[in-house]
Order: sequence, then structure tokens, then C-alpha cells
Amino acid sequence: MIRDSFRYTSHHFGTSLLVWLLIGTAMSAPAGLYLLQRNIEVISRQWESLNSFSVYFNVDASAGDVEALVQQMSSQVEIEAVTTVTPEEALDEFSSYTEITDALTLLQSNPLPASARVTVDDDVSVTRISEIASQFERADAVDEIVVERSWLGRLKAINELIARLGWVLGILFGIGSILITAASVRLALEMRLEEIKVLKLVGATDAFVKRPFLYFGAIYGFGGSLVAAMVLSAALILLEAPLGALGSSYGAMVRFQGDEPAFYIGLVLVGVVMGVAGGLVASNQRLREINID
Amino acid sequence: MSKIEFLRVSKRFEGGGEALKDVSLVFPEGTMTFLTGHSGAGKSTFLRLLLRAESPTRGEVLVNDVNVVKLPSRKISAYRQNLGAVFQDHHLLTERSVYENVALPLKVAGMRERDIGRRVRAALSRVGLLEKERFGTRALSSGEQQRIGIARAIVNRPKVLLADEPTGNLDPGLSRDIMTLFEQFNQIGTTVIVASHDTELIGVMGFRIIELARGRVVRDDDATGLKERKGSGG
Repeated sequence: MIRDSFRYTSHHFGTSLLVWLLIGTAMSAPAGLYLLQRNIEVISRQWESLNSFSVYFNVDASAGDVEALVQQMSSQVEIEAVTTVTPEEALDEFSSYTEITDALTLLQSNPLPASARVTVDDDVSVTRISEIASQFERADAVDEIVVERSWLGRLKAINELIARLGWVLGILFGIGSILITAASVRLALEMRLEEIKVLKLVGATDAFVKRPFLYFGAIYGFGGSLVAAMVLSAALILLEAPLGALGSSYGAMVRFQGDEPAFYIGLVLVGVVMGVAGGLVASNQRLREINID
Repeated sequence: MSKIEFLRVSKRFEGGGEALKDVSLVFPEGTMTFLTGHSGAGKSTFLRLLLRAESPTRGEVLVNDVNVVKLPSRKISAYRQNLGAVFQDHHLLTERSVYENVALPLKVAGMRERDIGRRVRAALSRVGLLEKERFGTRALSSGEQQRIGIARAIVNRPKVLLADEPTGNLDPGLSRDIMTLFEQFNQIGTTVIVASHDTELIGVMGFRIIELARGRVVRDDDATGLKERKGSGG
């Protein structure tokens, strides 16, 4: 019976291909959002693990004041390392990134303050980092301490939004895929109406009559999910290099999530289940209408 | 074996006339009966009521004391699996081979593939088409298609065999052979009802003949023409 279903889909290859493309496209959007959400989650987790904060000293703080505070910070058990950037180093770095070197030479003094990058132990919580930072905020030599977490919070909020959007689109496109399959199975069913009547006349149960149409649905869902897998693979290949560069510029080692077999197996299973659901919708509805009585 | 009873059965089609009018008939189990009459007399409707492909407007159709009119839809398929039916317009699956068409009732009944092959070849052999089992049905003549329909009807050794004009497209010699085949089935206890307007052929067969005209029974030569097959051997 499954052979018949394969025979039908190959005989009507044009229609089958169209259905596969439609289902594939419909599945790609939510599956793509799911991958995006997963990748953002991984990247933000990596950024979160960069346990550090920046200390910006007053412009008029002396080297001795800076050194004293750095010593004080380094003596803290939870602080792993303190990297100091002197005003001169900061100016050199600034000059190398900008084209206003001539303008800088006109200044009578260096406007840039000394700064320090403070790295704490990996197991220190986010709250504790903020507490440590606030201890030094009151020091006279300190102008500002930045715990770079606000944008991370925003990223998480965006990620949550993407996750929810993924669910909404998943449900919408899932229903769409089921309806596309149902419409295609319905077409196959119409073309085999006479056969169905004969089957019923020789005593076929509804389950027996439905079976090939469930196979049709499964084949359509399987093909559609393969198309979706190909679309996503192509998208990942295209996006991996630029997004990797973006991530590493923020200090995160980006390894893309989405090339694991489990994801694609899951995608195909979802496709097949939706296809069978489409087949069921079409055959249940149409068989109720077919009346040989 | 199955006893069939029609109790005051009428059938009116929507927008049409009354195909059967107050028909009451009894077909004892293991008997063979011919239904005859002109076109539109109600022969096909009679058989379709038995097949539960139609429902009567009034009356009861009993098979082994079970009113098939009131069968729940989930039980209709099991009921039909015990019937063999030959249709006037063959009802063959044109995309399938001769073998696949004949195998259909057995597949529907869930028989194993190995047994299906044996039974299909036996049925094809009985209608003289064994050598064409791999042919597509479109490649066959109308008479051959009719014989495929007959092979499909007998392949599951039904308790009741219904045939609507089974010899309509066959030459006289082959028609006689097919009737003999039905007779052989009747001899092993199958209740056979054949609708045919070939009065010459059914006259020489010597079985019960019921004539319908405009939906009514106008002749039932039960008393004179019935051959009791059970035990007597005809």
C-alpha cells in the first residue's frame, strides 16, 4: 500500500514538489527562529560568563592613587586579575582607531583617564559582581564603574521575544502545513474516488481506505521537512561567518547550534507528524461525505 | 450459508420514481435465484439494497435474521466482506493489474500475501484468465473485464453471491460457463442471486426465477422452477 502512495507521488511529481516546497518554506520560518533563539541563548550565556567590570579613574587621579586601588582590588579573593590601562596607553589605542591624531596633538594634556579591567572568578554570581564593583565606586580616584550587563539584559529580552515569536509562527505555520497537506491529500483522494467506492463495496473499513492517504501525508511531510532542512542548512552556511565575526568581536567564541543530527531528525519527525495529521484531516472529512448508499 | 428476506421493501429515489414497491421475498439459504425483468424493473436496486449500497425507504432486509438496514456503519464493512458482488459496470480499478483487482477483497479482509496469491490464481483459473494476471485491466475486452469482476466476487468464497447482469458482455458459450460457475458455488452452499434479462439462458438453468416489473414482483416461479441444491445435487 505504501508502494502505491510512492507511485502516486512520483507519477504526480510536479504537484508533489510544489507541496514539498510549500511545506518546506512554512517549516523553515519557525525552525529558523528556533535556531536563532538557541544561538542567541548560547552566545549570551558565553557573554555572561565573561565575569568582569571596567573601572574608569578620575582624569586627575595620580598614578599612585590608581596603583593603590589596583593593589586593593587584586588583594580581594574573588578577583582573579586586574589589567590596567594608563592614560598614555588609552591615548595610543584611541589614536590607532581614529584619524584625529593631529587634533589630539593640539591638546595641552591627555583627556583620557586611566582605566582597569577587573576579572573575577568564574563561579562568582552576577549579583556578587555588582556588589564587588560598588565597594570601589566610593573611592576618590574612581570616576565610574561599568558592569556591562544592561545590554545583555536587553539581548535576553529580545531572545525571549524571538522564542515567543517562534512559538506563534510555529503554531501558525504548523496549521498552515497541515492544511497544505490536507488540500493535497484531498486532491489525491478526489482522483481515487472510484477506487474508494470499489474498496467500500468489497468491504474495506474506513481505516483501510484511509491508510494510503495517511502515507501520502507522511510522504508530503517528510519531503517538506527535508526542504526545510536544506533551507536552514544553506542559511546557516551563509550566516555562520559574519555572525561568528560579530560574536568574537564581543569576546564570545561562536559555535553555531543547528548542525546536530538531533535537530534535523526532530525536524523530519515534526514534518511527518504534521503530514499524517493533514492526511487524517482530509480523509476523515472526505470519507464522511463519500456515500455509496 | 445465508437466508435472505425482504419484508415489504420499498425504495424511492429522490427526484425519481419508486424503484421497488412493497416487495416481500424469502431466499432460503443455499438457493440460487434469478431476478429478471426489463431495464428499470428494479433488479439492480434490489441487489444494491442487499449490498447495503442503498437503504430502503420502507421495509426490512434481513440476512440471517439481521436487519442490514439498521447495521451500524462500523459493521457494514464486515457484512460486505461476506458477500461477493458482480457489477453491471464491472467496478474495476483501471490503474491496477488483473491480479491486484481480484486480490482486493482478500487484502481488505487482511489475508496473508502468500494465501492471497493462491486464492487469486484459483479464482482466475475458474474464469479462464490465469494467463492474464499481470495485465492491466484497460488492456482487456469488456467480456474479460466482466470475468475479472466475477473472479473478484468469488475469490473470498462468499456466503452470498450477488451478480448484476454478469453475462451482459459475454458470448453465449461463455455465458453458460459463468452460470455453471455460479451453480457450482451454489452447490457448496452459497446463496446466489443473479439479475439477468437473458430469459433464454436462465430458463434452461432450471432455478427459481423472480420477475420484476416497475418495482413489483410480477412472477415468482418458486413452486415450479426451484432446484433445491442442498443434498439433492440438482
